[in-house]
Amino acid sequence: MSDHIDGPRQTADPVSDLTDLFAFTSPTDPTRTVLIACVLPFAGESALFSNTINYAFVVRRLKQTGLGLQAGFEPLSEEWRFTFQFEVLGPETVTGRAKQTGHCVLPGGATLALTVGEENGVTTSDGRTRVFAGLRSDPFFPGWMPGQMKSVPNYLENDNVLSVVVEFDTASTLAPERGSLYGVIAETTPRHPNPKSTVIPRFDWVGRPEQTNFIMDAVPGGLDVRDLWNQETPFALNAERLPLYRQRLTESLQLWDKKDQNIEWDTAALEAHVRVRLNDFLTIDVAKPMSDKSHLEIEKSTLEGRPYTTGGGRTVNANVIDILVTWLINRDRGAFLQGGASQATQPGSTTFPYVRPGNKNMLSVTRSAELKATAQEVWQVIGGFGSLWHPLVAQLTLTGEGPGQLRRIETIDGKIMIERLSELDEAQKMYRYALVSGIPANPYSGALSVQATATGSSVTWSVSYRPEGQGDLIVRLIISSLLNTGMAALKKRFGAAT
Amino acid sequence: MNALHSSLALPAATDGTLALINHESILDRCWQTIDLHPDRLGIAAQLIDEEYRRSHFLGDASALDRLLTLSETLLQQCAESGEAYVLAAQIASFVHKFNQATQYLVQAKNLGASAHSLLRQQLSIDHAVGQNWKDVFDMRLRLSVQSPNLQNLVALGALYAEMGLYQEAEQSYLRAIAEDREHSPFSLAWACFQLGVLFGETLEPAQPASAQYWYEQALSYMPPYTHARVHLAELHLDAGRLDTALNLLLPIQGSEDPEVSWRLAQLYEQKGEAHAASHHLARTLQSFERVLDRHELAFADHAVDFYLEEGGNPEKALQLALLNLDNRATLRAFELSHEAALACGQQALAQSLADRAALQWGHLPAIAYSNLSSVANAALTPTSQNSTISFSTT
Repeated sequence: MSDHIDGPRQTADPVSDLTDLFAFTSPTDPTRTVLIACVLPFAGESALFSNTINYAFVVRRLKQTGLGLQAGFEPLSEEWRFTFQFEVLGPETVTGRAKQTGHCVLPGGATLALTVGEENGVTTSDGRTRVFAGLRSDPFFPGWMPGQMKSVPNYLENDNVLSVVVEFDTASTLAPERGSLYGVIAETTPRHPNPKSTVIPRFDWVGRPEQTNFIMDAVPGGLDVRDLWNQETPFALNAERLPLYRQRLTESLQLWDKKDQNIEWDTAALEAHVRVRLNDFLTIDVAKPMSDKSHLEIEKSTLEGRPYTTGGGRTVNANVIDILVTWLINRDRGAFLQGGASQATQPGSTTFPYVRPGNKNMLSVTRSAELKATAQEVWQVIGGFGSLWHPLVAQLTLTGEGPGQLRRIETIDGKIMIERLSELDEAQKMYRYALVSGIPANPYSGALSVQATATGSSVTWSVSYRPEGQGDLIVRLIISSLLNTGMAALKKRFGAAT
Repeated sequence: MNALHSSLALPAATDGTLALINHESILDRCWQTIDLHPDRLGIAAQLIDEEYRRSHFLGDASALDRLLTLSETLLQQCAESGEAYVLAAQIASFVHKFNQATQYLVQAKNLGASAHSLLRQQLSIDHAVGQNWKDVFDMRLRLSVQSPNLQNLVALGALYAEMGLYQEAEQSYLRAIAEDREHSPFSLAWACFQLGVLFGETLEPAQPASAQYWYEQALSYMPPYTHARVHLAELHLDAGRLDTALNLLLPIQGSEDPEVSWRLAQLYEQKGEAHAASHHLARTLQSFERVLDRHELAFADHAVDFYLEEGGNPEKALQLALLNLDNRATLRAFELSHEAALACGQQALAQSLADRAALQWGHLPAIAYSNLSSVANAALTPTSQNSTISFSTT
């Protein structure tokens, strides 16, 4: 999960846990650069930032030190830092709960005051810099379970995070005429570090996605080094611990390479790859074009010994997991490894603040029926995604196979619904699906399952949804009718167990 | 033993109100997600942490009900997952169903759960029930060296306190606070609370001023911390500062934690307000009956104290104390049972309990501070594998 919960320590106060970092040229204004960082996995609608944590972006100019087996990037000392700080809540007002305020300290020391959740953010008087902070839909969409390399639907579906966003004028801020290649990291650090403490003053930092969870933590039985890594100083790892990290990266990248039974990374190439990964930052070239496909292109081209052609970076909608696992496993010499997720719950937008508002809490309807028939008998009738058993369904047609398969349902009163299969588990007698169209709700997901009981079987059908375009009463009525009628039909067909 | 705290600069932490808002937002969100995706074990693990916080810091007994529901769901939906059984074991431990937790760990191992998670959970069970003490001590010490984080250092401090090594306990708690790297007000409040308990309840004689200091620090990190408010109110009650105690208890009087209404009953009794005292005493009785009905093992030891005192039911106290002892034969469990047996006039049983305690725990320094040490006939010399415990803290 990109950088979500990357180490035991991150669960203590998850508001310091960085989950993702994005860096890209604005798709609507190529003169501006956008940085986005997210924290607090599983944030609920009321989530707020800590008042004692610095949430910072750090940008450094890079020098490309070699190509091919000599590949490497050296961060230079010049640094641009954007630091967000937030306050405790003031007293509640008559109009509702107090809002959280804060500010962003810009490179050079000027501050820009902001209110958390203000959709348009706030802009400096010269228009150079614009910032935002607030709850957003989690933009990350992992489609692989890394241990087994099992393709799965986005397992962060409907999750939220807190995001901080900076958009700035590239030319006047970064002076790219002196070199347009940069490394970007995000970090969380104590706002009031104890001067007497010997503790390393950093909670978390993130450069490239999945450096910690997918890569550093991918060696079975290996010591969990993620907490240690998260306390390192970005751009300047502790020299004494470098051998430890080098060894871990080498072992992990070897394991990734072997997943398709082919070895694409020989010893020398692996060594170069490890060297590049030890310098962990998002690499961007603001003078070159960036797109959803350009993530890691700078590193990949450099390692392959050719000049890079894009600006690299990481856009909000970049399919970074599939790009990464394909590169790690077949070095882009085989098929693109498409996992089970192709987009986030709410894909990013092309305008500020680029990440979408937080997902509202879902509503749900669940119905169950205790039946006399065995679980197997019931599953044979209702277990197929294309099974025609529901009395309100007049016609049903299927397109495709397996997860992703579509079913077009025509109801007896002529309405059309289209649903997509998310997961089918024959052993557990369960399938999940999502609505594509036909009911005024978005998102809308359902699950149908059958379980054996002492007296026969139990069927459970549940739907979670968020009304869209209609009030909940109408939507709930539609869904309840669908489920009630289905359960009544099953009781009639198989007999109700008492 | 209390000089150190004055020189310790308490670390900053996220404001308690903000942390509580985030806790509730995560809890709400995670329940929504687990309803949709009951096989997301990462969410389940987060839920267990958050519900435990709810139970411990806010005295919300319904958190335990929700955790048991979660456990059932996990075992239904992830019946082939070793990690799901580890989580079920963690939940069983929270409600003090240690035998069930151990059985879950066996199943978890058979299903291939990671050795690391099995070890952590087994350690937690062994510590709670007072078995394999040497291994528990060695492991706690090793963890505190390998990963000297707040969780490991507080757990080690608690173990030292149970052993009667109070200086070491205090040092371990103080180190936990000094070396905190997490900024979580929950964790820091917990460490401060443990110090309050050490000075206010474990030490003989108690040091109420130090205990008060640490309970107040706990509340500065986490203002609604129910247990800290109750313990601090008790100190103020003992000192006759009734209004101060009342100010601590009034904001949490809606809590389900029976100790809140119990303390209020004592307070109104001292104030001479018999009607209010009687009302709160009745509420306490109802609360204890309700939580014992739902989670008897989890609340048995707390209820013993109540039934021995204002609850006025020593027979029930003895029944609960023996149940607790059967579940976890710690020195504290022996002490409670002994006290309850005496209250019921069962001298022979009391003597037998004291002797058993001496046999099992005679090797620990804690026995010297226990009221059992003077009544036990058995020689206070170790007779079991525990004799090899090393108290070296290096």
